Amino acid sequence: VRDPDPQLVQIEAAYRSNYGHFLHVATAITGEAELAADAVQDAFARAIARRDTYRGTGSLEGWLWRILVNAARDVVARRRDAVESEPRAAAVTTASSSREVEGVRAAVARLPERQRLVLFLRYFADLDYLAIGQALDISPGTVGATLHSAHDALRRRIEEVQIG
Amino acid sequence: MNKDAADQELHHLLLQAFPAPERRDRGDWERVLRLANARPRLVPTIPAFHRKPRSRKLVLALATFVVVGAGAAVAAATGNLNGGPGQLSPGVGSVPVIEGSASDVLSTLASRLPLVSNPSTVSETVPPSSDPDATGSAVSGLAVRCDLLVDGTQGSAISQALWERDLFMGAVRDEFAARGFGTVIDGDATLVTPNGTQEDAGGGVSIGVRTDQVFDAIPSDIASTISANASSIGLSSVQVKTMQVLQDVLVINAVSDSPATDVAALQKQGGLQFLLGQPPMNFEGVYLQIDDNSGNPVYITDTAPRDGGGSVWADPSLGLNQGFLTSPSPQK
Repeated sequence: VRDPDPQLVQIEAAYRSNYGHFLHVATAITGEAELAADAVQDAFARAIARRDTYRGTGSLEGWLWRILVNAARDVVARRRDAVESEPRAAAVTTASSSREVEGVRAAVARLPERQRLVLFLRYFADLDYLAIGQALDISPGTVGATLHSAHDALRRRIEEVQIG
Repeated sequence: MNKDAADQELHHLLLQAFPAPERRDRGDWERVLRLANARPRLVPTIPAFHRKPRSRKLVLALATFVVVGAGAAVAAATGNLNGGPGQLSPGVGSVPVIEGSASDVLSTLASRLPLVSNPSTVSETVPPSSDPDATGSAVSGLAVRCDLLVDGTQGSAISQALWERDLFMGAVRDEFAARGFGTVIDGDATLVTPNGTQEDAGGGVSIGVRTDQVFDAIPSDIASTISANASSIGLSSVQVKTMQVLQDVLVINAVSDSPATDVAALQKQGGLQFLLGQPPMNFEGVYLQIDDNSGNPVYITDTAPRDGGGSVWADPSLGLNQGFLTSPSPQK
């Protein structure tokens, strides 16, 4: 009987305990739950394959989130490649979405990518600034500033939907 | 509203817009292990630079469609949160051509917008991810820059300038795309006051909308339509002007003796769509400013669909602001 790999055990524990958060953030980034599920699995496969590169200088959680975010972004990039090579008609917005909700989505979509990611990690993963910073390779101070900018931008962009 | 309450409201709105996906399972760990076993195990002795560079892909917005215009002026926008660019305009095709070089395009467009000055473009690269497994996460292209000439740096003092910024950024992006001058991936504007104060006005361009949007010409009877509709809800001294960007945009000014009542009536009737008698997205841009009878702006709304944008500013005295969505900000 081999001793269990402690890092593998930790990664599996993180996966099982926070799967919902990982999936939620990945869904917000990719726009589709199924793609997000693939991204989460791919991210953890990456993490397992690369676990020897984790040096313990930050939290394992932050390291995993960083891999997850990049995996989800890769999904978006690959899909964009497919869209570019095979143009398709623009999809119609879902009839069930309220105007307010669509407005919020639109406002979020217009944010710079970093602001979007900070929002997703803050509100869907409930990460603190330190973990968000590790996930996005930015300082905690930058996380705070980015979050503040995102709030300001959303105020302006969603305001009309709120008061309309 | 205190900060915590605002934070909770933002959280609530985001959860509504991006709900957690419903999944009965908790993830398939066995499949993760199979995927992991299919990958070469990366150890620190393998330097990252041995990896073959991959082409850099554009990864900005997921996509967008935008609901713009005040009140119930819901855009007939099609779009796709999953990556397809949206269309806000009534048609698509060839955008009007501005003759000359890229520099000529910038200066021509800036000259058409009275509050935009000092335009330029710079090459910009969004740095790639530090994750060696990441692909397609960096982007190179052009960032558009300009100054916005304003009297102040907050509230109504910047509303028209920010609208012109959005018009300008969208027009440059679309014209550059049509002329093959490069892909505009970012924008940044600076508020400049008469005393020289400068403040970042934010920027960005929407890549969630198509670059070939074609809008309707302004109808010859639009001023009479707007005046009649505005009068019916109590607005007076209505002025309607057109201004050319790539196509013509509308600038509407009106006065209200009872701002809270009149603005509420405008919103109830459908906002810009009511005033125009048609969706505001039919045009490249619409700006509406309502002043009280002392000449103070009380309500401003605008659309700039080439940049996927639109906004509303309301004086707090109207009691229209709600929750965390209160203070006007120059930031996009």
